[in-house]
Amino acid sequence: MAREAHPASFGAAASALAAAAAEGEVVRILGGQTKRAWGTPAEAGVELHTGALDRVVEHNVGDLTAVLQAGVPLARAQERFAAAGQRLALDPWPGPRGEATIGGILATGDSGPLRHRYGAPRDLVLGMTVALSDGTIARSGGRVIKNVAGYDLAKLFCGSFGTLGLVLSVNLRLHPLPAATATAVGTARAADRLAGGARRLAGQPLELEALDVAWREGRGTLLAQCAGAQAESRARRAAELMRQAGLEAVEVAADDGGLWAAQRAGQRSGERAVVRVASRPSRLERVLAAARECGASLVGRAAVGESFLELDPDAVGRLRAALPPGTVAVLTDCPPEHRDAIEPWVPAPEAAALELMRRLKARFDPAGACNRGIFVGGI
Amino acid sequence: MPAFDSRRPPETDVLDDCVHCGFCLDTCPTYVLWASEADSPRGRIVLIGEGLRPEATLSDEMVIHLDRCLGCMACVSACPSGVRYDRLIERVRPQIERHHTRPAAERALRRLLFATLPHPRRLRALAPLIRAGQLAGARRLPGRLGALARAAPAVAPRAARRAAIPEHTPAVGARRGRVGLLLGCVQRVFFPEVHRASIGALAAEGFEVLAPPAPDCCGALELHAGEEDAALTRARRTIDAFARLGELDHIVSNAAGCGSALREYGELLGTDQAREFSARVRDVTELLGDLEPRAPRGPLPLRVAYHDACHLAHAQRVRRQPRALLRGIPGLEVLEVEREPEVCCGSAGIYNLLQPRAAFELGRRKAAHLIATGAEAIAAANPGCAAQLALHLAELGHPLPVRHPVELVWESIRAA
Amino acid sequence: MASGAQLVARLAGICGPEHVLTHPDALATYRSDGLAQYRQTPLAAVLPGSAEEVRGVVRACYEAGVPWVARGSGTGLSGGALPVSDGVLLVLARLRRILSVELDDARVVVEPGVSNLAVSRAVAPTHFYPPDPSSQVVCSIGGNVAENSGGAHCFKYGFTTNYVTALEVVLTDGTVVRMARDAPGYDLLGAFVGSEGTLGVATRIELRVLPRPESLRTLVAFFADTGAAGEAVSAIVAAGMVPGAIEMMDRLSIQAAEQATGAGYRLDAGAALLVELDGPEEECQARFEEVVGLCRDCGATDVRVAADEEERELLWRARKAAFAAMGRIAPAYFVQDGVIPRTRLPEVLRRIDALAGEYGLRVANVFHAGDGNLHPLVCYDSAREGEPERAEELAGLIVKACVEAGGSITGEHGVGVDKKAYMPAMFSESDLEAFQRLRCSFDPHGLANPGKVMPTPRLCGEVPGPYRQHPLERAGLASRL
Repeated sequence: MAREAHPASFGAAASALAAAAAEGEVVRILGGQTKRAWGTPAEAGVELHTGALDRVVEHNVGDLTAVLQAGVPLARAQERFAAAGQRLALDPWPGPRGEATIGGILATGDSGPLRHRYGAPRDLVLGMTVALSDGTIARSGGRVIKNVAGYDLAKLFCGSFGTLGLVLSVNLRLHPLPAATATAVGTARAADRLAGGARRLAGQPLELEALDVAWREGRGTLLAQCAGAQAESRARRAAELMRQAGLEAVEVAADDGGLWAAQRAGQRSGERAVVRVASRPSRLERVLAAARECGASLVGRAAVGESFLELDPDAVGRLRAALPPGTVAVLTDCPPEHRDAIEPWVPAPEAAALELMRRLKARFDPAGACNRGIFVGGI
Repeated sequence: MPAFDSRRPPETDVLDDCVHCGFCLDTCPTYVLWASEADSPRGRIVLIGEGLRPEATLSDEMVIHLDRCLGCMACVSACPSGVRYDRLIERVRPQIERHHTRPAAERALRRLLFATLPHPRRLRALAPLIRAGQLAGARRLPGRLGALARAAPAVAPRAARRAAIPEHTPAVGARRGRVGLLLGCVQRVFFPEVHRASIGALAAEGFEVLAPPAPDCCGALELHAGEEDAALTRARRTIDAFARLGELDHIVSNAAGCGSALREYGELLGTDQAREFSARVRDVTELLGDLEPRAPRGPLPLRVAYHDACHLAHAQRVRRQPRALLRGIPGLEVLEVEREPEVCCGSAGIYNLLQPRAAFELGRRKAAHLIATGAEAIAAANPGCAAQLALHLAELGHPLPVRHPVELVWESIRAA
Repeated sequence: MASGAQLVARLAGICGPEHVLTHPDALATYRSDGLAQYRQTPLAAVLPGSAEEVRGVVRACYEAGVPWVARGSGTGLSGGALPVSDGVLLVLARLRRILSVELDDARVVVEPGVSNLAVSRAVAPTHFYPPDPSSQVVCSIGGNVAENSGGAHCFKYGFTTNYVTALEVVLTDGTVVRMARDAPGYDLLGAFVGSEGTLGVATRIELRVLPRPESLRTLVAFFADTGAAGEAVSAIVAAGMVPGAIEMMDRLSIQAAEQATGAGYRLDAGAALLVELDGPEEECQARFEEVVGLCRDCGATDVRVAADEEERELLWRARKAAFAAMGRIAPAYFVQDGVIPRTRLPEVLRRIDALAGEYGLRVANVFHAGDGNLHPLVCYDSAREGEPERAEELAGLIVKACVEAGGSITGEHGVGVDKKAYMPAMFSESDLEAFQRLRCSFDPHGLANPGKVMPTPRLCGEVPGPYRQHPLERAGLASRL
């Protein structure tokens, strides 16, 4: 039974982490716990919860920047930003009660359809304050959009699954909240037609917010979201391109919230497994083919090459074999009874890269306390 | 003491204008070839600066890199700080000739070149020999001999060489001006049709044209190669030769290298007469391109790629007028070179004879870029460029005709 | 020294003797990058012709215990490519092939010596490469990666780090590591971009490109002073717009740029604001009219809209030539690169004015107004006694003013050697120590670009492998922690 810590200040958090590390304990860092099961299953003696580090420290409206403590639920922060006509352009599935924290989202590199235009979490982070397992509190980056002073530790911490240290707070770049959005939707039963449509739209200067595909039960959907004062007329142009690409049932939805919520929800699963695939966008057909072969449904960012496949846990191996060799196919959600049988981190980093990662781990967390064992190579 | 003597050394305040930004690098032909800083304008400026230090010597290393400079002045056009690199390199070359001992073979070659090229009579005498050699395949010879053979323009048959160039041609219709045409050396012997076309076009546009046999050479080749005393003598002779003709509105050149040298006389000689002379110099395409055309133009349906000769575009900043002239020809389509338009073709005076390896690479590249435009013919306003381009176009299997823009204008006038 | 000659011989064996330079005159041409006030001649300059040769060079230096500095086009403005006297200068300029262009994947793969503009040219006319530093005609992609370069369009489009999708990097022991976005494991890629050549050298770079915007609308608005222009910027941003670019120039820099390019900027203006909107036609047109209105509302004395591509290029040429053009109106100058939150712009500009007045020196300002990145150009005359030192002092005070206003010591030029002394103004000892952990993980022997970024020399503690005495230890300048 793990001990719990709920520090409410940076100092308390750093001390709690350092104390546990000094005792040789493994610390599990937890936020909203919406992604708790991701990674390699591993034991921990201490659970460090970030829930009490939940202040919106700064929201600089005129500068479009904000500073959030790690335990702030993103949904809450977005409400605050929206009140000033702004948003953090990051939209992963927020959890059943909107409890996913910014710290957890960054640690896992989680994102949603807005990744198409605005990038992964690491592309929106301006700076970070972290606590290391030896008690050090360190800052990197700054609070301005443009900054190349020093090393970009924030990028290193993003996606590191908490294995380098504890994120205490993060400085973020915000964007204006669009006046309106509209989404063009089209369907296809043939994977190559769907992929062709996606390719067509991706190559046009449409400035889409998001360009997603979905595949369920033999039927594919292409979604293209436009934002701005002229959102609807632009979405109609996107719709026309879809028709030209041979997609069917093409229409424009001005009230598109539900469509995109479904895309986000499609990245997660309670009963089945989810594999996050990263490949070149031109390989979408191959990914769709592999999905069909393994009975998987799919949502993904067509122009980024990131897809989320939901399938039966025992089909994961077949899926990985069906994908081109070397394709990233990381297991995220999975029913607990199947987890031990599936290696989550595929492909494993090459020897030289893994060696470098071990060296980073050794210097940042010499005690090996932070989330030990859940990451690649047993880190 | 520094590497340079006190006779017109490179100027420190010109050097100091360089802020080391590097904008010149990608327009420099040698940097484009070798990506080596020492063979870039920025690097050469550093070398010249090193040479000005009190304890400096003129090392072989410095000379190698300075010799490799083509003197194309693309860097001057590209430089945002306005560094007059042309003044630096022009002042460095005579210093090198005075203070550096070249290997014997190189010295012999230079002596041969300066004994023949600036002397039309000697060139004419050698022409049959050169033609025979070209017909016999001397171009395929290795090393310097082959380079010489290949660099020489195709020599026209004897009859064409013999035809005289009229010394005086009256204006057609009301006279717009009175101009003197520089016949020069290489152009006169190898491309006399360019002179005939120039005279024809100028006369048709209302100019009275005087084309005196003297001077025999404006000294451009010597000036750009650092043979300072010879260049100064020729400059004086040229100014005197034109002075004897009475009042001239302009001194006209149809060879970019020559026009550029004529414009430097003021700086070179420093006299009021020389400055006043230089101020009246015009390239033939510049003069004609700036005027409202008077003689009707006949159609010449041809797709022509315009090649900017460095000494016209960079040194004299004449780009607009030749293009305007060509566009004034009905049916003629002017094509621009898309890739590396600023980069020299490698002819650069006698560069292609002194640095054959670099000149070969550059000629090859330029020919390929010209072919890529899809042109049927090339317009180039300099005999050196014309020879270099003709050679490499042919070697790449596309022997497109290379003409001086004024030749095309004259053909158009005659077709009307 | 004996081992130096041995290393040089080995390098000649790897790259060919004509590509290993040791003559002092040839080396003199490599002694500076874009900041000519810093000069250092290396032991040798080597110009490899392939990624394999680069690896060989790095390995040879590792085995000889000799540090090295990587250099692209040598146009950097922080002295990042300044050689070390006992080290090798690794010049990447010959690696300038574009290896592939795959527009279906919106992807370009290049060698590090390829120029930034060449990338945009390679994907024109349908696509473009957004990070566009003013030196893009010559600066190398490898250099952009090292500095995380931005450019005029980064307010809307982001920086190099947002566009690099994969790298092949040679670490200081000669190991080759491939780093890619989305690959399982740490974001080595994100750590490497912007690390100023201190973690290794990239030999193969994969870049993302974007479809070229459908529409471009460019204007230059002239104002009586920078304050008014700054208000216009705030108004534009407050209206929820993200222009492709918003650039500001003050009177002095307008004069220099106009002299260099003759673009038609008004010499009687106190400030010029270059605003470019890009994007879909409908959005562009509507928002552009709004921008013109906002400029006039904020007191623009004149607004000039570019009528065509040629005019647009001319307007931009003036802006991009501004730095280098300063050489025309000032004998010498220091370039600064401070960043401040945009809302603090008016107050910091006033502070700079006040400081310049105190010091009796002229300061020209060119900057990326959208993201608060200032480039004060502190002019001085080295012929006047004490003026260079005073100018340097003034430059330092300006940097400190930026940090005090909540900004950064460098927005895009990097720390290099020029700003490392200011790192403690921005970062605490713990912060610097954390940076050092990253650096040592990659380069435990301190061979890659030593003396850059970190304010004081530091070593890496326990290092696996045979012990090698670091040159700094030999010189007694640093001790092992």
